[in-house]
This record gives sequence, C-alpha cells and structure tokens, in this order.
Amino acid sequence: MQRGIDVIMLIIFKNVIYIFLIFAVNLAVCSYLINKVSARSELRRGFIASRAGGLGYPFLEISKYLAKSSRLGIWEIFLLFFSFFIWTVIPFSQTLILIKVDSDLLAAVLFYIILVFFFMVNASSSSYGFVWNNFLKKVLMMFSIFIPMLFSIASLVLINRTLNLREIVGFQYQYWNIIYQPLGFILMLTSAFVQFKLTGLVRKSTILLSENSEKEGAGFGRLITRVSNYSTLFFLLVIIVILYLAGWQNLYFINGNIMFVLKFYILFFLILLLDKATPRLDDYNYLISINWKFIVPISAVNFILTIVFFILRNIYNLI
Amino acid sequence: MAKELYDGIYSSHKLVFIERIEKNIDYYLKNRILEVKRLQQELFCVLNKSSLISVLKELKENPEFDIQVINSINLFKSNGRYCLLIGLSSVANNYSMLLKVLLNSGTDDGSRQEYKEILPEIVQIFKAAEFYMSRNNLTHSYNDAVFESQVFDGFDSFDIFLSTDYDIINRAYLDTAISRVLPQNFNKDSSLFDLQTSVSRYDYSAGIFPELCLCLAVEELLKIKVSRRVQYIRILLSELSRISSHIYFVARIAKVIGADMAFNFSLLEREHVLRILEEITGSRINPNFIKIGGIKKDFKPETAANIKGSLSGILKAVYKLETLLLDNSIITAKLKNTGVADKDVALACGTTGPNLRASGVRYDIRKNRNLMLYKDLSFLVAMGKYGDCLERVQIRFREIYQSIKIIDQITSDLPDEYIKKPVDISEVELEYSEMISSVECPHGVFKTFIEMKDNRVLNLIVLGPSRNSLYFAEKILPGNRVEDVELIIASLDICSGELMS
Repeated sequence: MQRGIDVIMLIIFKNVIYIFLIFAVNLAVCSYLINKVSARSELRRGFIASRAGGLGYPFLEISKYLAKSSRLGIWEIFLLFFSFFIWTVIPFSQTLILIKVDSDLLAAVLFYIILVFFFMVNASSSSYGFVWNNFLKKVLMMFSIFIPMLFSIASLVLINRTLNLREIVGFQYQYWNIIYQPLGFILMLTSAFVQFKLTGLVRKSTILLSENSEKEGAGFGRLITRVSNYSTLFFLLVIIVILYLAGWQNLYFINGNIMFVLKFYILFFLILLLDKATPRLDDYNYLISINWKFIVPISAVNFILTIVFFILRNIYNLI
Repeated sequence: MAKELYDGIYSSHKLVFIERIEKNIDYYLKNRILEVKRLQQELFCVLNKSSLISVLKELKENPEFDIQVINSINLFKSNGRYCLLIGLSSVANNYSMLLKVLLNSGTDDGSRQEYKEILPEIVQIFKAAEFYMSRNNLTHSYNDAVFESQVFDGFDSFDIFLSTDYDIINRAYLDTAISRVLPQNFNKDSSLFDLQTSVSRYDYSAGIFPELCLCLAVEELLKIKVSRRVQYIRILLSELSRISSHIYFVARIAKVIGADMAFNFSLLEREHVLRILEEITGSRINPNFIKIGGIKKDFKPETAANIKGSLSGILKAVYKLETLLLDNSIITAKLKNTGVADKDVALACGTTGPNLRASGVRYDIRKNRNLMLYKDLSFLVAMGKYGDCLERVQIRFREIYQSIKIIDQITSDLPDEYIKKPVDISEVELEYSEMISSVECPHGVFKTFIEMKDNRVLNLIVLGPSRNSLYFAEKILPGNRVEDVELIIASLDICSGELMS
C-alpha cells in the first residue's frame, strides 16, 4: 500500500516537473519573441546578449525585477498561486495532467475568471490602500469581453457533448472543431486578442496599471504580475488549440506533441502581429460599443444556430 | 515676368488695400491715434490709454475695419515707458494690426495695476481677452481633475485643470505658469548677432521660422533687397521644416493613440527630411542658417538634384504613413467627432494656421499676403470642413503634399545667381525704429515685434500661435471625455518653445 502511494506521488511529481518545465521554457521563448518583435519595430540597439531582442534579455529582466525592493502584498501571493494552479486541470497530452476531473473545461474557465479577477484586484491595491477609482468600469471592460468567449465554448460543448478536454481532443481525431465552428474560432481568437491587449503584456495597460504604476514600480511583486500575465495568455492559446485545433492529435505522420507546439506558436505570432498592427484598445466607449453591438450579438447568433442544429440532430434526428 | 514682379513694378492688391485701411484709420480715428505706420504689410498704431476703449469699439463696429479677432496682449517696457501691445486681425478684410498703448504709470507695480484695471474693459469688447486676465479659477478646490505637466509626454509646458461631470468635461483651464521661466527683459538690449543665433529656440520642431521672421524684419528696416535665389532657398528650407514638423505631429498623434507601427515609421521618415535639412544647413533642429541679407552658405547644383531625387521617396512614404494611420477604422473612430470646433470659435480664439483651416476658414498668409516669393509658386491651401481631430490630422497630410509640390517646383527651376555675402551687422547704424514681421509656420502665423537702435535689439516680442491654440483648447475641451484630453491637445500642435516668452 505504502509503495503504491509512493509510485502515485512519483508520477504526480514527474508530471508537475514536466508541466512547469514546459511553462518555464515557454515563458523564456515567448518573452524573447515579444521583445524581438518590439525591438525590430522600434529599431532599438544594445549589446547583443542583453539588448531588447537578445537571448539573454528575459533573464536580465528577471534580475532587474529582483534588484528592486518592494513589498509583497497578499493579493500577489494569491495571484502567484492561481497562475500556477490553473495549469493543474489543463491536459498537455492524454496522460500529462495533474488533476483528472470529468468536467475539467468548466474548472479551467472558472479558475481563469478567478485569476483575472485577482489580477485586477491586485492592480488596484497599492501601498496607499485600495484604489476604487473606476474599478467597476474596468471590471466591466474586462469581463464583458468574456461573454463571446463563453458563448463560443458553450456552442462547442454542445457539438462535442462533453466537458472533458481530453474527450474533446479525442473527438477531433477525424475533423478538427474549427470546421464545425469557424465563427466560434474567430470570435474566441478576437476575445483572446482583446484580453491580451487589455492586460498589457507588451505596453502599459490603463486597465491594470493606471493608478499605481508609479507606486508599485519594479520588484518581486511586479515579476509575479508579469508571470501571471503570461499565464493568462498561455491559457487562452492552449484552450483555443485544444478546443478548435485538435490539441495533441497526430497529423498524418507528424507527432501530436510537435503539432501542439506548432499550433501554439502560430497563434502566438498571429496575436503579436495583430497587436503591432492595431492601436491601443483601452478606450471604454469604443470597446463597449464594438463588444455589445458587434461581437456579442454574433456570438449569440452562433450559439443559437448551434442549439437549433443540436435539437434537429440529437432530439428529432433530422440531420 | 517674375523678375519684373520682384523688382517692384507691380504692387500687389494687398498693399493697395493696406493703404486704403491706413487712410481710413487716419480719417475715422484722427484725434484718438497718435501715430499710424505701415510696417511690412501690417499696420501699427500708437495711442494713449485714455482713447484705447473707444478705438477698440470703433475698430470692431466700423465695417470698414471689421476687426473681430484679438490675437495677443503683452505688457512691455519701451524707451523707459510701460506699454501694452495688442494684436488684432480681421480675417474678413484680410489684414492685421498692432496697437501700442502708452500707459500712464512709470513703475513696475503701477503698470501691472493699470494692466489689471484695463483688461476687464477690453474683455467687454473682445471676449477672448479673458485668457490674459488673472485667473482665480486655477485652484485645486475649484477643479476636480488636474493633469500636471509631467503626466503627458511632450506637453510639459502647462497644467490642465478640469471640472468634470463623471467623465464629461464641463470647464477646462490651461495654466502656463510652469513655463514662464524667462524673465521679461531677457532679450532686452542684446546684440542682433546674439539674438540671431538663439532665436530658433522659440520653435523647436521647425527652428527655421523664427530666424526667418527676425531676418525679414531687420531686412525691411535696413531696406535690403535679397536675391531671388536666396528667397527660393529660404522657401525650400521652410517647406522642408514644415514637412518635418508635420511628420513629428503625426508621430505624436500615433503615440497618443497607441499605433506603434505608425509612430516608428513616422519618426524614421522624419529622419529622411531632417537629413536633407542637415545636408544644407549643417544642423537638424537649430539651423542658424538664415542671415540678414542672405544665407550662411549657398549649396551646389548637385544638392538640388539630390533633393529632387529624394522627393518621390518622401511622397511615397508619407502616402504610406497616411494609409497606415487613417485607413484604420479603429483610429478614425477615435479621431472623428472628438474636439469639434466650428468656425466662429476658432476665429474668436485668434487661432491661425492648420487649426483654423481645419475649421473651414481659408486663411494662409503664404497666399493672402505678399510673403517672400510664394506668389510665383503654384500650390493649394489645404482646407477642412468639420474641425474635428480627424480633419486636423488630414489637413497636415494635405499640407505635406503641397509642400512637396512647392519643393519640386523650386528644385527644378532654381535661378542661378551670385549670392552676396550677408550684411555685417556689427557696423549697422540705425535710428530708433520698430518693425513687425510674420511668417506662416507649421503651427500658425508666427509674428515678431522688434525695436532696434544701431545694432542693438531693444525689445523682441514673440507673438506665437501656440498661445492662441491654448485658449482654443480651453474652448473645445468642454463636452468631450476626459480620456480624449491628451488626443485633443496633441491635435492642436502646441509648441512649448513659443510659450516660454
């Protein structure tokens, strides 16, 4: 019995190592790519290893954060916990998952919402106290863009008739979900893109850093915020790859894991290029107007069409 | 034909018109005005403080004069006597004039007291004069949002005080106290040589215009005639500076909106234009190239060919920049209908330049006055209609295209003349005299009032367009959202250098 538990603990430990290794490698590669694109577009110069587009820059950035002293708030500790905890329910392959639950899609979305909420609360709390200025407005801006994402996920769940991410990937062994839900994929990507712009990975975001950007400054707390910023982006991309692009399914003779990495980086590059081509999107009126007048209605129509399709096919057996 | 025009056989209708106004002033305001002078296409009147209000009323109400715009009010000391300098202009009749009002008091405090007493009376006639009054509303308790000068990049010369209703602005005040660093008599009694080298600081984005304005004034005083080649080179340099300044404006707008690619691209393009400027003048920002009676150095025929060759590249790049910035629906949605100003507001604030033309008033002293040799060149005055931020950006692009057209004409037909050495200003002997001169700089009409004796400059008063743009900003900010404050102020192209005077 004792030996059995040891083996299970070892397997879990091995998985933990794998997942966080993937996370760390991805973090270094993605921050390198982001800096490279920014440096290319701004024609910045510097020493080869430590310049903005250099390989050593992500590590230099970490040391820059660590060199400054700052207090670590309670919300930052929550944020650190959740930005890692979110990866426990996401499968990277059929076996590489920490907590096996039946409805892990639901859990993942729930954890993600909590993570973003902590993110915003952390940004509003400062050494001077909690800054309530425009907090509800920012919450509205951030969470109203979740609605098309949730609609798209709901339509996809109706098609696959499961809340389990591994089963959803298994469902796509023949045709990817993007063929059944092209509109849903575009809406999901748009939502992810707007969230990426709002959380301000590349440039200063008014949603997260308007009030206390000068107070917090750099430091370990800022490093945590940055890591969780990357965590939200990776989550969105991984979820899109799993839901619409068949996750780790093999493509002909290409290995599934390689396909997973390829699809992830293609989406990542797409979002980076879109980010460079579009201006800042933190204008409250503009964002709310395009969201409620354009993106949300389309996603609702997509959802209703999927329901109609679902009823005709599974209840009346017409299609 | 052009040569004959230049030699003064033909006098423009503008000069004839100025003569008529001058005679009218003599006729209507005979007893109230001490002296009327015509200083280089502008009128200059000297009067006593007691007759100021009646003269202002007459100038406003008499349809012969029809002056509706007050451009500036300055308090200064001339010949040991405190004076007020009031800039007025009439866009309908297309002329402008300066009033020099002699104050009674001889002391510093006394003159300020008189200034304070007389301003409310001027405000009753011209409402825009309230900008020059002491503004008690500039307190933190009266306003609920204050953007101090360090908040926005590039607008470090004034604080913005806002009174808001949730996120809509009710009242706005712009305070330039932070930029009043220069003492009042900084330029007083300095030699012309010193002034000539340092005057370009008044406009850091296009430093050629203050130099040009000063040199035009002194040349007019010394009655020096400048050769056509020099005139054309001056026009060439000023149009290049205009392009550079407008591209810098576009870069600032792109920065405010957050369009990274447009921002980087516009700075790169500005670099190309600055390189040409550097090739000719030897400097990028403060050229110190235009001298009295000429220019510092003539350039070779290859340089003109090089400039002409690089024009097509600049044109393509500016077109690309325009499509990059204005073909984006997110950006145009942001610019459209923000900071709308109609014609009347723009005129009442005394705004000039692209900001006025964006509101639909055709006023450009390159066309309206006999400025240098612009009358020989073919170009259009870019016009807007609605006066919103989008128009103000578009009009800059159109002006860049027109400037490229002007440069193309100059470089293809540059007269081959011998350029004389500039005048040695150390030997100039001149009795006490005054002169006004104005040029159309990228922000508006840049005007200087200069008092000289021998080679000493007794007074130099810079009447830049940015001060009017500040008052204009106060008028158009109410009704807009707090988020758009930076965008609206960036769209007015306020130059901090002019505010420090």
